[in-house]
Amino acid sequence: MNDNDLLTNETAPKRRDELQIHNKKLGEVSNWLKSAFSEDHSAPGVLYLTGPTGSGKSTSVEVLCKEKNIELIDYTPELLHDDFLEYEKHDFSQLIRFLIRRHASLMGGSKKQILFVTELPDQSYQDAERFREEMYEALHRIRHPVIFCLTNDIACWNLNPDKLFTREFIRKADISTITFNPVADTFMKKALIRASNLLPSPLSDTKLNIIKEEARGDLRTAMNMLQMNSVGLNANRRTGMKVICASKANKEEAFHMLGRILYAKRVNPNAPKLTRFSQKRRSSVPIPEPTERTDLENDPSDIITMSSMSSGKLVDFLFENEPVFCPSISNYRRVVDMFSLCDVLAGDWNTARSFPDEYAAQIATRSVMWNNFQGSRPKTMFCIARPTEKDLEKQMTATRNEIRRLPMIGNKHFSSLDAPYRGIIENITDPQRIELFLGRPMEIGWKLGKDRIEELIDGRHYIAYKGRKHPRKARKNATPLVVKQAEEEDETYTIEDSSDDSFDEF
Amino acid sequence: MSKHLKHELAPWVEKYRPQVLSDIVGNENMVSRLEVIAKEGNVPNIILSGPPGIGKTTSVWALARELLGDKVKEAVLELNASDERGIDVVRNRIKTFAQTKVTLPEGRHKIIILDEADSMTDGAQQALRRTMELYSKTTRFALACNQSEKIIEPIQSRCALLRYTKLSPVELLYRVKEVAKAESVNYDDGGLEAILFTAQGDMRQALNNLQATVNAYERVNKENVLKVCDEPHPDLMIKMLLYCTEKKFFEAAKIIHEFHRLGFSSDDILSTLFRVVKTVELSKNVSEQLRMQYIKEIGVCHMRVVQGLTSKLQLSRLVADLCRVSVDA
Repeated sequence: MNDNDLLTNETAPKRRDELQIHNKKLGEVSNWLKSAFSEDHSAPGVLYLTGPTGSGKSTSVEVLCKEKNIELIDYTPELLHDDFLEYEKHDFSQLIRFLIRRHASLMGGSKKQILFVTELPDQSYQDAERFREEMYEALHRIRHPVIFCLTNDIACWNLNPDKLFTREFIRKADISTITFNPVADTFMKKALIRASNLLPSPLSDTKLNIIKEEARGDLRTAMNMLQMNSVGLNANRRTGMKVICASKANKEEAFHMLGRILYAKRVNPNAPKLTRFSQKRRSSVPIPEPTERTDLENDPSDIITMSSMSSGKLVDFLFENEPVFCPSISNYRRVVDMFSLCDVLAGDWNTARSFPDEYAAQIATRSVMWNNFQGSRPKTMFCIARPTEKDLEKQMTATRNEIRRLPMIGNKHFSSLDAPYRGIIENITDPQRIELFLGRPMEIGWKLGKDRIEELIDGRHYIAYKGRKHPRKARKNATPLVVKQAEEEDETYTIEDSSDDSFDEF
Repeated sequence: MSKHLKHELAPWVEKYRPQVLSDIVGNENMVSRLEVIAKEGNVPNIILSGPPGIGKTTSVWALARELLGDKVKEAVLELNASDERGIDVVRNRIKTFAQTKVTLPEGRHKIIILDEADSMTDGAQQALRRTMELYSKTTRFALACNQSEKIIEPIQSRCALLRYTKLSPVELLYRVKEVAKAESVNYDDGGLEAILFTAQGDMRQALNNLQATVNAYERVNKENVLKVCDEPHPDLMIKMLLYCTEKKFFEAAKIIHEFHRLGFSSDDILSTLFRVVKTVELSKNVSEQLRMQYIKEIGVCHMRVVQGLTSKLQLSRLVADLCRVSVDA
């Protein structure tokens, strides 16, 4: 293996079984490739392939095309020259010329060819309207199938290809779409292990896990981190446990920092003088905690500067873990009050740029350390929990993406596809069920996932949380009806019925 | 100008800029990783992000120097915010550089340094994306920026991100003392303390303040540093806070109005006040709890100021608030 190239290129999968991408997605791409060259198509197909960065879009296409013996013709605007051999300005005309030209195979013979566009002219982002017009024209005249492979999960709306490929346009121009998701954790792990084993000195499992966590579904970033951490003869031994990666350059320090804040240790007058050697003995013989508020062992400002965590993240972590450490409800109220203030300070977007971020961290840390005095302490080693909000957000985006992919209303498959979502929508719109959810016992948390929550709540209440039997309604519908009909009626009346209830109360 | 004189007049920031990675203070974890890479070669594309004055650009240059040795001149292209960096420049200049042939040893690559990359337009960054991939066999990119969020995702995905953190006072002090010794500066502890206080983890600012004080007054003591940096005097702030703890509203208000009269902006006054409250030892009467309350009040007031209410009335209100929370405590 030559060590001259980036790991992202060097370890790029060459065969289909090396691809760490969901088989369903691969199948979709593969089917499209098949249909693109089937005889019964009058015009060559167009595919709009999108997904977040590093989700394996272009790699999948490359591997599958190689397997199917299809030649990919890359669109590289930079290599085009005009008659005087000067660089041409990169605009529509180049792209259109590329699209409608007949391309001779570089490999010779009658190899199948696909045009592969991974970059659009800058002009198109500035003038979306014209881009669509010109593309619409051009796509009618193409001679080869075209794949537009673009990153659409991009924060900058200006550069988002979804702005150009609107639903309307996709429908009108008869473009197929395939959307890739961020790479799932299991696949990511497999890919990392594979790449790591190709290295002269593979990384330890713990390190790979940290990289996996950090990459957030971006396979390319993961490979870059792997390269960053693997250069050197014996990468494992040289740096110990430390892994340098994106956001948590010092994960361990962050962990210690949270511990110091939450435990809020104070200088203990009962404690024997600390030396490096007595430390071990101290842990085996517990000394009574000070009964009066002495000085803190660690200065809050020092703790904050020690880590690179942003204020928002710090508050999230403290919020998640504070209940375990807080001595009483009134203290907890005070702390949470401060957290809410921190949220206001840190969350205001129009001042965020000029307002120092540190206020929130300072306030949160100090109020936690003050109020946690003589608080409950977990008896054993306590595992600091990650903010659940993040997981919830992740779940929400996943569901949102799932729903977005549903066909438009009026499509012939609409009813069969949206059926599973009816249950969710009903549960959200029925105030009685929300009440039930909010009044649930404490141990039922978001972490359990929707199905488990429903199951537990259903088991606890006489009134079904998710079921259709409101006691009152059961009486109403007591008239003998065919069972199936009754169910249908129930479903349609659910929302109306409950809104009536709220009227009565006023 | 003779070379000697020029060297004499050079800003100390440049004169004492570390030339090798091992001289860089702070962020040891990442710098030591870069050292290993500098020995072995095959550096990935990297983004260094973090606040100003913590050694991002210095690290990149030191890395380039250690990787490329005497070939640095030919094999490094640096573009910073003052250079034209539109789409066309990215297309042509960077591409031309990427295509030029430079003979380098095995495992070494040409390096393109893009300083202050967050000031590049989205279009230019988009154009960079492809270049990064096409020439990865011969050329690597090192981007330095203050906010990594301003780099578009496709670029972030193609780089390994290194997040530098602010330097601690100890790290700053180590280097500042070194420089002061090398320039045989006449300093005292109060002066260095004031320099660390005004720099707040920014090495560039610390060295600039040191040099400015030396040029203006020769002697580096607290008074002189604060005169040069023109910051509201922390000692007066401490006095003001003392009045607040003793619930002497009028005396405290007089001090903050004096700051206002001297022409300090409300923003400056509040930032300094915040720094004082969080770091400086206050009177015994200020408990942890009270200190937290102070920070809270200052934070809320600062928020209002940032939103646009910079009037004197807000400062008076802050003093009143500080007195009020002292009463409650």
